[in-house]
Parts: sequence; C-alpha cells; structure tokens
Amino acid sequence: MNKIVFEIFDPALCCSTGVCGPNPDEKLIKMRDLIDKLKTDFGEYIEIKRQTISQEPKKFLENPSVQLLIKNEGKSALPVCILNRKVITYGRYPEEKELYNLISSLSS
Amino acid sequence: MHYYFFHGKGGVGKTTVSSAFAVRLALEGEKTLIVSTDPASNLSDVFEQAIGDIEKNIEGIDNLYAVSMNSDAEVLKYKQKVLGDSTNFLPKEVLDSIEEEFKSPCVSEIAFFNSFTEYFLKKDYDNIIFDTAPSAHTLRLLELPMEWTVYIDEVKKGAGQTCMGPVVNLDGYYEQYKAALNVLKDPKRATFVFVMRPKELDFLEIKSGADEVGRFGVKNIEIIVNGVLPDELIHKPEFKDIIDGQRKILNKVGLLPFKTLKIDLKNKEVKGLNSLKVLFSSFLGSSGEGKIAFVNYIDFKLKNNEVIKSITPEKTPFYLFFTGKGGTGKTVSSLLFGKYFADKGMKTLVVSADYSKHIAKIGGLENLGEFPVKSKYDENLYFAAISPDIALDEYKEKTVEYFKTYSANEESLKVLNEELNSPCTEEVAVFKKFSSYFFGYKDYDVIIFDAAPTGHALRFLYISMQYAKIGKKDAVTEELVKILKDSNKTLFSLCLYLEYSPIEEAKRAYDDLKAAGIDTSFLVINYILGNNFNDGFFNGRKKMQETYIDTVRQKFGIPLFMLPQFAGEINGMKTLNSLYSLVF
Repeated sequence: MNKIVFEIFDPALCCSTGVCGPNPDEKLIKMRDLIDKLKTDFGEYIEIKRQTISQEPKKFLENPSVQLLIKNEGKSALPVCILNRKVITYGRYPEEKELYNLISSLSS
Repeated sequence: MHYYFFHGKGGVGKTTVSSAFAVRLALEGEKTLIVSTDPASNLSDVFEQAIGDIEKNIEGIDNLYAVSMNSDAEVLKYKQKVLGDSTNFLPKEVLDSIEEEFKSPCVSEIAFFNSFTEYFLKKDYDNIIFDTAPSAHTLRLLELPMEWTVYIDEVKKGAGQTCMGPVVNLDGYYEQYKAALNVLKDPKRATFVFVMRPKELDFLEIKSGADEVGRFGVKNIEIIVNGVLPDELIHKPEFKDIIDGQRKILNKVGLLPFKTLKIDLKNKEVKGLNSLKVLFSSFLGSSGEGKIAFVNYIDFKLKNNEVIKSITPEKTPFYLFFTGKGGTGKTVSSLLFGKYFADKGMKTLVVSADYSKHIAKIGGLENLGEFPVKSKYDENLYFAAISPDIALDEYKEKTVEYFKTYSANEESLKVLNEELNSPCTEEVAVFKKFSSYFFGYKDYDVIIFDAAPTGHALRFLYISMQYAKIGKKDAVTEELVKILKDSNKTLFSLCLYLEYSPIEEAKRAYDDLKAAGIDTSFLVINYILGNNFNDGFFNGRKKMQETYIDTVRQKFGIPLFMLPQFAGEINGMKTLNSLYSLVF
C-alpha cells in the first residue's frame, strides 16, 4: 500500500475544537474524530498535516492550489482538504464516508 | 543575579515601594532593572519620566534601568513573527480574519508571557525587579510555566496541535519556560515581596498569597507593610482607634514566618527620584504646616444627592459599573450605591467580579457565589460574586458535556481537555458568567458590578466587544454590547483618590472607555480628608488634595461623587452604615 498524505488547511481558528469561541464547533469536533479514525485505521500508511492560516500563513502560500483558491474565493475557500496533492474539498470538511471512498479509489 | 517579585493587590503602593527598592540597590552600585508587567503601568508617573517597552537608563541616577511591558507591543511583535511577508500576498478579507484571531485573549497571553520569560535569560544585570500586576493575574502568569511545560510534553504525544499554535512553534520557547521555572523555585535567585497596607483584608490576602507561592516551593518571602500611621500620633485621641487597629495587624504579620519591613505613611506623596531615594532610609513622616480649608461632610451630602439624582436613568433596569485601580474603593462604592437604590425601593443586586471576595466579607455572607443572596440587613438588596475558578470549572464541565453529544472518541476528548486548560478559556468562562447577569436576572431594577482593577476590567470589556465583531457571532453577546454602549441603560463610574497616579490612571481608563464608545458618567473621589482629621500631619495631605481636586475637575468635567476618609477600616455592615450616613 502506498502512503496516503492528507492535508488540511484550516481557516483562522484558535483551537482545533473551537472551545475558544462562544461554543465548541460541531464540525470541528467531527473533523477531529475523523483524523483520529484515519490514524487508527491506516497507522503508518497515512501522514496527516494540519495547519491554521492564523498561525502558519506561509504554508498556505507555499501550496499553489491553496494559494489560487484563496485568491479566487477569499476566506470562503477555507478549509481546503488535499488528498495526495489533489484538492478534494474546499469551503468544508469532507464527510467520513466521502473521504473513505476517495481513499479506497486511490489504492484501486 | 537576583530576581525580586512584588506582590500585593492594587493600591497598596507596589510600584512606589518596588521603585524605591530598585533605587536603593542602584545607589549601592548594583546594576538593576525594574520591569513593570502591569497593563496599567504607572512606572513613568513614579519616576516622572517616560518609560516605554524598551529598556532605558533612568535619568538622574547611575545603574538603574527600567522597562514597561506593553501587551499591545508584544502582540505586534508576535504577529510580525507569525505573518512575516504573507501580508503582501493574502487577500484583504483573509487577512482580516487572521487579524481578528490575533485579538483573542489567547494570543496576547502567549505574546506577553514569551516576553516575560525572556527576562529570565538575561545575564547583564545584578538584579531584576518585577513590579507585577495585581496578585491574581500575577499568580496566573507565574502558574503558567509549570502547566505549560507539562502541556507541551503532553501535546507532543497527542495531536501536535495546541491552542497556542503547532507544537513546533512552541518548542523554541520550552527552554525559556524551563529557565523561568527554575529561577522562580530557586531561593538563592528569587525573592517574593508582598506589599500590604495595615488592614485586616490585606492581611488575609497576603496570607493566602504567600500560601499560593509556597506551592511553587518559593522559600524567600518578605512582607512590607506600607502606609502605617506614625506611632508619634498615638497620643492624639482621634487616631487612637486607627493606630490600635494597625498594631493588631502588625502583630499578626509579625507572627508569620517571614521577614517584615514597616514603612510609615508620609505627609506628602512619594513621587520622583528624590523622594524615592529617601523612602527606604526614612521611617517617620514629618509634619506639614499651613492653613487648611476644611471639607465639611454636610456639603458632601447635598452635593452627592444631587449627583446621584442627575445620573440615575429614568427607566429600570439599569446597570452600574465601578472601575478603577485597586484600593480606590470600588467595593465600598458598589455597596453604598446598592444600599442607596435599595432604600429607594428598587430591587438591587451587587455583583462582585473581584478576585478577592471583599463583598462577602463586608456583607457578612459566607460562601457567597454567583446566585444572588439577600442581604441580612436591607430589604431589596442582594449580593453575588463571580469566582473565576468556579466559572472556569463550570465552563469546562459544560463544554465536555456538549462535546460528548457529538463525539464518543477518547482521543478527541483528550485534545479537548488539553485545549480547555489553555489561558484563554478562563477569559471566555468569566465573560460568559458576566453576561449571564444581563439576561438571567430580569427581575432586578438595578445591577451593580464591582468590576476588577482597571487594566483587567478593560480587557474584559474589550473582549466582549471583539466577540461581537468576530465571525463566530452570537446574538447574546451582540445584545450585551448594545446594552453596554447605551448610556440610558449602563452607567460607568471611575473610582480614584487624590494622588497623581490614580488620577492619571483614571484618565487613561476614561480615554480607553471613550475609544470603546463608552462615556463615563461620574467619578467617585475617595479618601477625602474632612475636618475630623485636624492635625499637622494631615494638613500636608489636605493641601495636596485641594490642588488635585481642581486638576480632576479640569481633566474630566463630569460630576464628582465624594467619599470621606473614614476613621477606620470598612470591614463590615456596621462600619459601612456609618460611612453611608456620612455620604448620603
């Protein structure tokens, strides 16, 4: 099995669960769970990179697809999710089923 | 190299005493740096020269350097580090969303804390003296490195993402935090000096404060009792009670296992290099002379009743905030006004947002919490107190509960718990509690807030404004900001006493509020010396007060509410009632 690289480019957020805002964010909690599931299911075969624009803006500029999306769509382009260098969703996080389908299509 | 940390609640003279101490060390030939970490620093006022966020030599004396840490400047430095030249390439809309995130309390805490710990790596001074912020804030600041080093270790194992940014960004600071921690725990390198006034409430606070730093393994603790009335006044019958009270406190302090130093009250203000130089060598106040126009309490009453009528909104409910530097009489003012409105038949709630529960002590109420408790003495009067610790615990509990309705994942829960331990969570938690009084207690006509000291209180409010601006909008917060800005619904009052620094600080707070779209309705002037303080010693201070009251009138141009110097400490309902009868 080839290595899977899953990259998440988050919008400006303080915490990965959103507790710093008025309320924790349901979408962010789900994403956290999903990342954890991926780690359990794929172990060393998956590499997950997560970055927030307010903390590491340079990384957003270094990725041409992300840079272009931000340029065209503004902040509504975020979050951008990339699977093996291909943008799979922008403006939202993928659903669990959707992501797993995409991963299985990679290996076939 | 030795570090000194000055603790004590606002208004006890921390800045003056620590500055005088720094001057003494410098005069002894030791290269000394004094650092102010107080967001409402008045180091410049004490030394009578501009002191900013870059270390500078104090003019007029060798070996003495000073710097005033400024959170805004620290945030800017941090911002530049994170953003670099990205600002040139990102669209404005995206940059704006990043900017908003930089305004979160979390970011200012990290930025500020990073700079604070930088001083522990310095090698070019013999002494570094920290004139710290009010005690609760300071303790929080000191408590952080321990939690953070554990925190960084934990997070490294887990998700790799923290509230403060990715672990990689934090790792560079690990050594810095560790160095700070080592210094704080080393009795050969760090001394904690607690400053207090000879008052019962101060004593209780100092005692618990010393216990708290004891938890860190700090052994070098010293106590300075500042502003003690000179013993030579004991033969004057009008001072007998005050001096007897002081002696009791001094005895209690003497029983604590710490070195103590007593500094007598001076007959004029300690300000400028020369008076700082003599502060540590002179222990007796000399008597001033001159003819004094005595302030009459009857005039106070007439004037005060006029002021309170003019500022009372026509419609209820309304909200009243007392803010100002510590020790200016916020709690006493809240209680006096609370009693006044309750006496007029209005259902009144006094909420203490202060870290130390003076309100509970004065009201004789044990275990006072956030739920209103009826006064034992006054019909229509209720009390409540927000405790930051309890607010935080509740917030954590609620958040975890909410989280569990979406996720049963253990790992995610671990991450959530890590994030809940970050410094910004307390601000969010306290803010939530604070706003609940505006919506959850609709049957009160008046709600009075004995707000936290100036710098903190302002940050507090500013945060609430920012929440209204940040994308994560919530209708409750928006409504709250609207109420705060409406002068028919919310009144702001600044408390001060007639000395240079409190006046300057009140002016800064006044300007800050104005910048946030809030007009201050009136000022409370505390500790005005009346004709019962008829002695050579007080005549010097009376003269000083007269000059300053003119300054205040010119600077602010808003109504003044006058509180007389009370012969004794306000420590219960009995003394509060006596003061009340002098004021209204």
